[in-house]
Amino acid sequence: MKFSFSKKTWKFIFTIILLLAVIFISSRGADNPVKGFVLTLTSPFLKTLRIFSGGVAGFLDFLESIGNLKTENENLVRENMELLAENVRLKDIDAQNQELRRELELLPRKKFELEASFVIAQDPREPGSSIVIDKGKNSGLKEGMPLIVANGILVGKISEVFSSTAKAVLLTDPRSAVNAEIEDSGAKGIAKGEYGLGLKIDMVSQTEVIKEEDIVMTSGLGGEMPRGLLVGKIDKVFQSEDKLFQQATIIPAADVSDLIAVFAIKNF
Amino acid sequence: MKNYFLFVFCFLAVVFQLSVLGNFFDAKRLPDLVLIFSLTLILSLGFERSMVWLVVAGLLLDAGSNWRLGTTSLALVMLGMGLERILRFAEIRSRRFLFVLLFGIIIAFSKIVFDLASQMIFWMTAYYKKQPAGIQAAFFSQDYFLKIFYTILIGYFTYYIFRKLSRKLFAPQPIVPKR
Repeated sequence: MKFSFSKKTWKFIFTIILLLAVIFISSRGADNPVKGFVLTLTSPFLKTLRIFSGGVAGFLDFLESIGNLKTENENLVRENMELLAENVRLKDIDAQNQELRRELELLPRKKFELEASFVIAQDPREPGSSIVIDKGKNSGLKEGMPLIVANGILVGKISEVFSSTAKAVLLTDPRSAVNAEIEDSGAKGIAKGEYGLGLKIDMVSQTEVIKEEDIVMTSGLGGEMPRGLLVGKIDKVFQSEDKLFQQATIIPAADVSDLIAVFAIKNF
Repeated sequence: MKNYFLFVFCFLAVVFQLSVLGNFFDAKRLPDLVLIFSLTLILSLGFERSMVWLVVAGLLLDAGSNWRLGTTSLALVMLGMGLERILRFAEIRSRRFLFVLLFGIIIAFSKIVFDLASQMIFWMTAYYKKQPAGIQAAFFSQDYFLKIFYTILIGYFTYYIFRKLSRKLFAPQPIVPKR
């Protein structure tokens, strides 16, 4: 009896072997130029469609919100008044701060050098995992640079840089680990991503006090991130069974699965 | 011309999946356009003819994600092979019905398997580190059903449009007798 494969089966086997080889090669990091090349070619389309569809989505949201305009307006007026009061208080604090700095002969706090960029693609299979932005080496971006949104809220850091695009790992990705600190108590720990689903602070000493609603920010330890970037709020606190450390889940300050524009911190 | 059309179709599916759908759908409920594209091709052209395009679509999608290059292509090719085996044995005459049925099974199954695997990782990590698991995967949440629903809905339109267009493009040419 003669045993032979059909032409189709041979094609299938050949494709599988070829793809396994590609996966093997890319696991050694050799896929970077290919990914960079593909992203460079596709980024104009990704960017244009992202912006255009964002406009359409915004318009649809606007149509949907027309019915709520009156309530929203009242809320905005009230919010505006609260912000005015807050502004006055902050101006006073700023004046005090400058006075104290002068007395202590401290230099004014250095401002970040930011590079604004659009999010042009997001991995649909892992929404809280990674994004592609429309700036890369040409704009001076480097691996490891922190990414923030308005008001200094940390959302992730750059993981791969190509000529005109870059990929960033978001805070909720399991590969992400950031030195963090609880604002009130000064307790230090590591904020880690949880499989794209959430965020957790780990390695907090048992002697420290952490409670729900505490603010978590970057500690600046290790020099990878500037100090004081907002990470989120403490949700639930856990005690580890071995009683060595405390852990807590964090509610991220920004919704990382729905980002439009981000800022890369080039200098801090 | 045919290849050009297929490339544009494949390219649009990936670009829309990566950059456009996120503006209209909640991230956890994004319809899987590349899967729709793959199923449409397999059902319309057969596995053998669509294999190249499954590979291309997978590679393009992997380029925009953190997955290893080739993993999505491999998954799509395996899916195509499996589908072809099913089609060979199952006697479902209505292709539309088959299309919707396959979607439901594939998406629900893959999502449930993915979340079960995530939960297992949490539990195993927690067990070995002797720490609480922290986050729990939200099983059978509204997101599951909406994602499947959106995918089927968009898939049905995509499949319909593709069939209409491909009938013109891939229709057998009449044989003109030589003089």
